[in-house]
Amino acid sequence: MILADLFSETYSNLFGNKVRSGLTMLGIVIGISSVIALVGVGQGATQQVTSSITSLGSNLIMISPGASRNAGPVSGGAGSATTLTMDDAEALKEQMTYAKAISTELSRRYQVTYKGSNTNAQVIGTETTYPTIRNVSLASGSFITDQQIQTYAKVAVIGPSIRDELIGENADPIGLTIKINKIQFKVIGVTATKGGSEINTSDNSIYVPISTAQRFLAGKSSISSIDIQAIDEKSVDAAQQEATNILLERHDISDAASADFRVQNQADIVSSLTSTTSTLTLLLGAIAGISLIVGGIGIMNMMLTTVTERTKEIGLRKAIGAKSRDISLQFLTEATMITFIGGLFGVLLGWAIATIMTKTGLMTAMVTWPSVLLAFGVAASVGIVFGFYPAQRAAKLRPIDALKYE
Amino acid sequence: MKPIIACANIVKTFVNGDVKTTVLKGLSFTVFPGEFLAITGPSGSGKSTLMHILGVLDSPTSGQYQLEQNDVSKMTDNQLAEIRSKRIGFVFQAFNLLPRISVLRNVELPLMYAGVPRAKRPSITHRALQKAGIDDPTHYHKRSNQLSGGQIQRVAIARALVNDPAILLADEPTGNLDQKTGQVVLETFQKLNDSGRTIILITHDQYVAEHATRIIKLRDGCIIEDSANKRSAEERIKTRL
Repeated sequence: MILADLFSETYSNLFGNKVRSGLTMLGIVIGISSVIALVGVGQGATQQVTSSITSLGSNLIMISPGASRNAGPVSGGAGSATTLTMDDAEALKEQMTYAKAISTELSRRYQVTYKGSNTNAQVIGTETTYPTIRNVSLASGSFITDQQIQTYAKVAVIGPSIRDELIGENADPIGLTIKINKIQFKVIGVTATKGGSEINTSDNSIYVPISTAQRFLAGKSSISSIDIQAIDEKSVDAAQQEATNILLERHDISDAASADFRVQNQADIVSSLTSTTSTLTLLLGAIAGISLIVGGIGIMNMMLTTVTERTKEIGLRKAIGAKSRDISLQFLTEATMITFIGGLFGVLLGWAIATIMTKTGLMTAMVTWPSVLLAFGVAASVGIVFGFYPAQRAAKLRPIDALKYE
Repeated sequence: MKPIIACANIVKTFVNGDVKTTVLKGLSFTVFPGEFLAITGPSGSGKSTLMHILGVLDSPTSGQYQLEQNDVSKMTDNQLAEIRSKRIGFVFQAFNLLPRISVLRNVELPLMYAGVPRAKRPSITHRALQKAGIDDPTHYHKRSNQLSGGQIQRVAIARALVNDPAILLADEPTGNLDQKTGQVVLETFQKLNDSGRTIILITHDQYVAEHATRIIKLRDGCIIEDSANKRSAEERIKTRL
């Protein structure tokens, strides 16, 4: 039996029973497309997290206060302590050798109003170096200057989303006066749209001088974080160690484990977040994989029914010269063909679902070649594995028994 | 002339649990090329079992069966498949054609399993169909449900002939047909025999058996009569005259 015969036999057998072949194929189509789409969702999430964290700035190290420790056993949440001060930042600026730039932050959410409209926004008190460290650029106007910090100037740089919401889309807000927590601020700049990330987007933030934020908004001299940009990628670890040592010494803490601050670099954050999303990918993939196995069992079921139904046919084929190998090959090809065609449609459907989800903004799903190949490979092996047993059963039928079968 | 089939003391016993049934009780006979042999007998006489053994679909419990001087009992499954493919042509009582494929594809099947290249198949297939009396090409692309019973049996004969086998084995080929169409099928066998084809016909019907040149009568697994059919020979001479 040559290959062309095998395929034409398979074709007429599968098309001879369109409904059944179609339904069996549907199981595989659903299995494969859900693998592709769901793994795509997981990978999309991973990619989004990675890119949003990279967009925070390059070679970034962030220091935040630790949990506040009171006399009692109850500890406050991380970042609730007011252990970081401007003096800490000054000391880091003076002593660090691996730092390219250092900037302080004091962030808190406030109600912001302009004429009739109002919104709630993250107001970040910061310094002149912030844009370089955090990879923020200006669309118009200028950023906060050292002089404005020294003079406690009530000036603000606003994100494009804030401008759109408060003043009007693409309006020119420079020189206008907005109210942050009922205090008047003059708008001096608008940052460029960064888009994308849900985490910590700069589009929704307002920047004011750190001194102004401390005196007029927060009413305290502590800071909520210190951002350090290391000289280059290689010196990130060294810079992190250096900053930790300086602060431990200043805070008079000998044991690093009981530090009242937290030093994290970008890679730490990326890896901790992507480990979550890869678990998500794995979980989604596993769920989809189950439907693929169910589809495979559907194939086995159909093939076994077919073998029983076609027992007389197998007998006839053997009587006119078919070898056992011809019979098993034929059934195996039928099973594999179903998964192959089902797999093809599954990949297309999964890809379409992922694209539609992404286009409609429901979710970012990324279909990658490895996931397509994996799904396809699994489908092909499902066909072979689940087709093997029925094929063997068909091949082992004795021609005489098969012919007599009623 | 060497015999095409030589059976010596063929015994076939079926075991079903504790019950042993001996269906064939030591049959011995030979068949020479060009014979038209009818094996006949009442139901339960063992004629179908004998046909399965002759067609190497089943093997005897004991005894020797030589097909064209080859001992069939010593062959592997694949070798037997090869014999069925090239040396024996089967015509069954029912379920001869696969319902999903056309007449041409049905007749082509033995060629496919024998490994004949695709390009050579149509001409062989057409010749076999013509020999079997299906010469209207409009039938070639029909399926079995679009054909009459007589046509189906003649397509089955064409398929049995397609690999040019040594023997044509027919198991009650007219069993499902009315007398008139049955007659057409039997005449097809006679014509093939006239051109030298060896045919073994299994039937319970004495009238059908009369078309053969030799009749073996079975009863309870034994041969009770093995004789040349003089009437058939006379009639043939008549028709030729």
